[in-house]
Amino acid sequence: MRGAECVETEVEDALVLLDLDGGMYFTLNGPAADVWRALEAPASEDALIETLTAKYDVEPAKCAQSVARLLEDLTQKGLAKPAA
Amino acid sequence: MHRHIAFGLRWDSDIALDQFAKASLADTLPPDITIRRAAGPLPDREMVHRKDGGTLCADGFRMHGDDEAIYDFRAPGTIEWRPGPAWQGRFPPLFFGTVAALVLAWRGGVPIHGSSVEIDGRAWLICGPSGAGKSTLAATLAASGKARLIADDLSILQGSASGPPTLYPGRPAIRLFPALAEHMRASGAEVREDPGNDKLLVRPARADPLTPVPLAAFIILGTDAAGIPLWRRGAFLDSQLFRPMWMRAIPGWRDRFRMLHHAGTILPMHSLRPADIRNAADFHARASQALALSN
Repeated sequence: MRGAECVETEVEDALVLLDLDGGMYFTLNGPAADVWRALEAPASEDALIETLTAKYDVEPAKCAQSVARLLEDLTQKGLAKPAA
Repeated sequence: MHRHIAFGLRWDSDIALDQFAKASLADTLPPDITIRRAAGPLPDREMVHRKDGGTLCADGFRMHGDDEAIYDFRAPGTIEWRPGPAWQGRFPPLFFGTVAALVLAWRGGVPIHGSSVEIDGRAWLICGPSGAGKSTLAATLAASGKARLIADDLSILQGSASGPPTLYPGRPAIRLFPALAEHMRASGAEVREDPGNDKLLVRPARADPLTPVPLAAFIILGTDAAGIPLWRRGAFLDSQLFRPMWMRAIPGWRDRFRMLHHAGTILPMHSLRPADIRNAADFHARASQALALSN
């Protein structure tokens, strides 16, 4: 699930987030922005992979790897956290 | 009781609010804000934050920025006041600026340090640092006959369910240097002395006080708006808030930031060069430029 309250700006094919508490800006590219949007409600890792493989031409195994890395990155930046 | 209309609200007060417009006698709706002199010393209140010139409380604020009076605001709409040692018999500018801005923020408005005018039913909000010429541009636009004043110096944005925020007219007078004030008098505006101030109070043509005007665009003086990326516009507008330290402390700042961010990304932001604010002729050129932007 999301870990921070952000405001969003769509810029071409990316999404710029401003973390309202931390005051930091983050840029998410297309697939990462899709994950952020999907996290508006708590979502399982499997559901995120399903969303991305439906939209992009990508191997499920490779997608799972990328999603895991992205979630780790978002968690480290405070933008995501495990659902309670 | 004196009734006034400002920022879309009815302000009923036991002393006249000489910087707000008087309401029509036919207006009998209940007041939004009631202002009365406290019968005795103001009671102790639970303090949340001590701020510059006042104190934030759980249910409002107490403002004592000068020695003329103390104001005790309780949400949603009661102001009790007590005269201070330097009381002059009328509310000082602090009341019509800071106190009004804080009350309006508490009620969901977003107070911006900027002047605004209405052109063809839509609002133009002029932002920029003190001395950049916000009031002068608003005045010259009003003098052109094509624009009507919404508010000088303090403009309040109100959220709308969809689309851009709206503004209601605020203070009906603009403070201007004498040369420009005389120029405004020639265009038919009422001009008055402002005791203790080297500027004059000018009342130009004005938008209807109870009609909200949707915001059309921002005019930025002193900063090149083209250099502000879309995703930073919310933060830029946040830096134009009236009394920003207070605005961050009053409940609801996230909602206010979201509104500014939304307005900044959906509305155009134009820049005009800063200029000598006493030079009326130059500002005519500036007003023409601004009007050209609105076409």
